[in-house]
Amino acid sequence: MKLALIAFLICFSTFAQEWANKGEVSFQWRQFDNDNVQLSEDTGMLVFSRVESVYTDDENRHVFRGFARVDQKDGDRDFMAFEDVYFSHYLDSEQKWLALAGYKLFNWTATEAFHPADVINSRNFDSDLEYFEKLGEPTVELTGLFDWGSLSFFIWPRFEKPQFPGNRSRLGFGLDLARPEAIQGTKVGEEWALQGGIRLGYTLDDGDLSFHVIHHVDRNFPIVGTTEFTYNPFLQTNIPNNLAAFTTSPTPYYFRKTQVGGTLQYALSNLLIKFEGAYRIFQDDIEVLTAEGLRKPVDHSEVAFGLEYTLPFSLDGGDTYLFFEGGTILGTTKEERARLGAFQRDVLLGVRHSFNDVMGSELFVSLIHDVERKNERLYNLSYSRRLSDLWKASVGVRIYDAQQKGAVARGLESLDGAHHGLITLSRFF
Amino acid sequence: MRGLFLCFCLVWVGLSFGATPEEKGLEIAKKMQAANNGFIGEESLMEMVLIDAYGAKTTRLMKGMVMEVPKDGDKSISIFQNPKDVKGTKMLTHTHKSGDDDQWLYLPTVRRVKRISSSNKSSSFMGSEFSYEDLGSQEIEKYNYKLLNDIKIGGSGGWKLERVPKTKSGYSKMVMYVSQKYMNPVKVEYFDRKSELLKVAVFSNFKGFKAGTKSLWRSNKIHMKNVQTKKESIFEWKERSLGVKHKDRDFNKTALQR
Repeated sequence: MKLALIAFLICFSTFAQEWANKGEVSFQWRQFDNDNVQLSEDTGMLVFSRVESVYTDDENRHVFRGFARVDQKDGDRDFMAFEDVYFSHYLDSEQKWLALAGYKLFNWTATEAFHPADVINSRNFDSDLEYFEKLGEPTVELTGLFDWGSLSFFIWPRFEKPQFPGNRSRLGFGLDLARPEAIQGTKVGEEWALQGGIRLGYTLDDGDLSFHVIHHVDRNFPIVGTTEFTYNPFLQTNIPNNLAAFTTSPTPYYFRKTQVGGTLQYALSNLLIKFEGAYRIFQDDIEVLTAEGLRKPVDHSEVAFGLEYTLPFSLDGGDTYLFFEGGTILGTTKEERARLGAFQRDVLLGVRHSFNDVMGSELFVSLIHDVERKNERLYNLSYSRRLSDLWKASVGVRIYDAQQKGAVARGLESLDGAHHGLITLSRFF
Repeated sequence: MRGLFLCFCLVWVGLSFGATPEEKGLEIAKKMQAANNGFIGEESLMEMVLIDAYGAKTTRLMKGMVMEVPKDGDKSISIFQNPKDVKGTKMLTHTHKSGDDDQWLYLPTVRRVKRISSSNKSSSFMGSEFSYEDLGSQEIEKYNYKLLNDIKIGGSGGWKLERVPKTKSGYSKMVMYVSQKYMNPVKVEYFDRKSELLKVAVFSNFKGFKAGTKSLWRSNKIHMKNVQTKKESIFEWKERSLGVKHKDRDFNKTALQR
């Protein structure tokens, strides 16, 4: 018994154990331009908190990270989510193979605004269009770690439902959407799904390459409407079985797809060249009755290209970065592209200035301009700085300029006029 | 045999007395490099105190890991601990003897690894008086050296060396006061692009380390004073181990996310 205890203590003492905890509590005030609509809420006052706890030893790692948000004005924004809740373990003494299980946040993007390759996690759509908040995805992963990069195999057993804004949110559609549903073959609403993928990450001297093949329930191109309708031969049109639900709380439907894609980041002196691309083949052909008639998913490609240039000189000891990015959906008609997303053929121009001062001050200005559809622009201005080692403040303004051109608002048009200012005060611990 | 001995003496005399200041400077730089190489790997906890022109202090904390790479520059990871809003941010650097270094930044909030341009090395490191260039790997291939004169440092011998960057730099030159005992600088004067004195770094708290069979000296404190702005920064190694064996795959992009 004593020997066992000594052996245990020797083994235990050889592990480099480490706990790391951190978190934040933020207060945010969000004020929209008045839209003179009684239902919508023009003011947001929220408390956001995030905690993270990580345990690491020689062979294992446990991670817990989640956030919660409570809005005093708009209860539909109250939300709690797991981001990372997983356990990982090295399978061999060489520590070449790592197994992981639990909720995990992925970030496969190479660009700043348009993200064709970064599609795994479901999003919270009541957040900034360019950087939607992500929800952890239930994952089983096996990763091989090599000197040149990594090779990962994934199984995602469950469709984690995206979060949509409520009918009072100015970043929503003015509707209380029903809970999202996954379509798998003829089944509608099945949450358990056979989803999986492979990803290869490869680092060359000046460049990083990645390739992926995934088969999963898509998270970015829902079709909103109903699958329950009947054809009325007298009216010669499809009629929803539940007309009230169709008009007041339609359902976002997500379809299974296979995606082949990749990313590239290449450094060339002061210039970073970025590329992301994906080709998507949808599997199920179930039609959804929408406000624009019957729709089903459309196979397509999406590519994004970016340049990031660091100015080679500095006037105030800071760094200035210039961004240019372009993103487009290919293999569809102009009309189909417009239905697929807000950034169907857009460019981004941006400037970030890091003052490199003690307080970490930073200014970011950007413009996203639709080069295909007239008068669709999103302006963004933000400034942040530390107030102390624990406190940080940021202010920002976002302007959505996208007047509705047809009978149904498409893409950025649904956010036209949702200009707003933000003030955030955060306490980190 | 006698002829061979004579040849050896002539070569030795030539090297000792006939070499130009530039050749002597390069020779000393190579000796410094040889004395400091062979550390295998390093792990440390670092504290940086930023002092503004009015004496107000701010503290930054970092963890660091370095892996020595034979025939190329070192690989390193810095993990920021304080201020709290950047806690967990990691910076991976692969330095090279020639050409730009490779750098990646891990942003923990969005779980993103981003390649960053490493060419703007004159930028301030975390708002301090140190630039990325000051704290990065100092490969001798990136500079031209010149011995200015022999000096005395604390009763023992030393050299005053001038170092001029061959590639893009925030400095026109650096003047180094090198200790023969430590084979490391004890003071460096940095001159800006207008050739005016910009900063002075004083290296102190030298400590001897063992890495395998090799003995090395390392300064555990650098006090940098900006003579133009009157701001100061003190970089101090609180815990430091040399001779640590790291794996190559602990210093790639994937390792940042673990």
